[in-house]
Amino acid sequence: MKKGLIAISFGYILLVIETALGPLFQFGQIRMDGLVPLTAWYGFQHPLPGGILAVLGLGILSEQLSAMPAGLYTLAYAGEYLMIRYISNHIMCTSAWQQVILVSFLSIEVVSVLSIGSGAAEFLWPWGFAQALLNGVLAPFWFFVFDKASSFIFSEGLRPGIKEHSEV
Amino acid sequence: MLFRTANSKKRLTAYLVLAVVILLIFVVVGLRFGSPAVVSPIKYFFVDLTGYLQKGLSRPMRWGGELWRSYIALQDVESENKALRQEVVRLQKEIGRYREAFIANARLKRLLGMKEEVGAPAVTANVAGVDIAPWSAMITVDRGRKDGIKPGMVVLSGAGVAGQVMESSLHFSKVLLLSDYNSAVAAFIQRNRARGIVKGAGEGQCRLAYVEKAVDVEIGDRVITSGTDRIFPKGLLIGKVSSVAEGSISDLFQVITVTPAVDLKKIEEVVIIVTNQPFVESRH
Repeated sequence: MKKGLIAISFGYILLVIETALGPLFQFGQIRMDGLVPLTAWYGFQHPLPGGILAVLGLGILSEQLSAMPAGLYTLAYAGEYLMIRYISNHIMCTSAWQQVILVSFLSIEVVSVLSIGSGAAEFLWPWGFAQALLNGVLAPFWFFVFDKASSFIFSEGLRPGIKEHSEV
Repeated sequence: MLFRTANSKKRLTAYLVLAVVILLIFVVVGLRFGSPAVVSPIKYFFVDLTGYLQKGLSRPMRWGGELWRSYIALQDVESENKALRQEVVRLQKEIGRYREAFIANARLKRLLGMKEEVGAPAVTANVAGVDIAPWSAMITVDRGRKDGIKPGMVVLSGAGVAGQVMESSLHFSKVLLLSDYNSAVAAFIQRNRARGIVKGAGEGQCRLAYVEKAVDVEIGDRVITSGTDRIFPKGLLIGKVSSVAEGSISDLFQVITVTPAVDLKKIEEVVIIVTNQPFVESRH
């Protein structure tokens, strides 16, 4: 519960920064985004069923700051979370290059749901894929930031690579 | 046997979670479309809180931009005489401030002109934040229900139409810009009165849809609001035609790109027309 609230707080801080300073982080039609890596990072550490609640919270928060059709962010992030829960039972993802590939792959799912759902399917190529790649490339940095921040908040910290338990 | 029970329990949990997720999504969608009376106060509180944070964060960015324009970018002259450099920096800083004031003045004059041109009560607002999706064109402005702003109100900027209010909390409002894929405005070409719908096309551009192939459209034609959508008053400049294509044989209509008169990517201030009545064509 506490960790879920922390994840939502991280998400909210990222949302405020991204929406207030958005143009600073924008290159063409892509922008630095910490929310997809946050969902991936959180998904790795927090299993179902409790973990999904924070992800739904993140989706609802995102929708409040976007003109996207209702439910899209919630659907995209929930999909990403379920995918990462499935993947986390089959692979280990400890090195940076693995995180890059994984988050790029998950970003394609998120960008596809958002762009197709909002009627902007033409955004998918090339910008959507570029966005997914950018998310992936920056994922090790974000994972590092989230690890450090959560270690700072919880005295014991979340030890990387050790999962609470995995059920699904 | 035990193994099978554990497995089916896991499967049941997974199905239950999926069902809850789907249910929650539908609940969220329902709340967005249905009566928002229950969630409105929380939602509006959230929008207000975020608006203040966005405003607080975007202000240093502007100051930083001004500082960069007026001081830091001038550090190249450091190789020259120190006294001269300081003098140049001081003067440039001053010029930068004057230039900023001059640009702001021109912008505000245009906004004032727009306000007078429309002839309806209007309020000016500053942009506090942008949409989190880079391809979506929505901005948050620092005026809300307290200032009389309501969803559906027309938003203008220096040279013409910028968009319309989507949602407003007590102190902040969300504005859907013309270039958003979900935006549509009834319009016509000023020269030949050919009617169409201006739809958002992303990347700060729009399309004039539903103009038949037989209609003569030229690059540079002014596209203005027709007023038939009962949202935008008639005669406001939307933009100019920047490209015209016939499209394929199966296409019934021309493919017309319209570049909005307002630079929607760099919008800083807007004017919101505050009116309780929808704009009807006959009124203008």
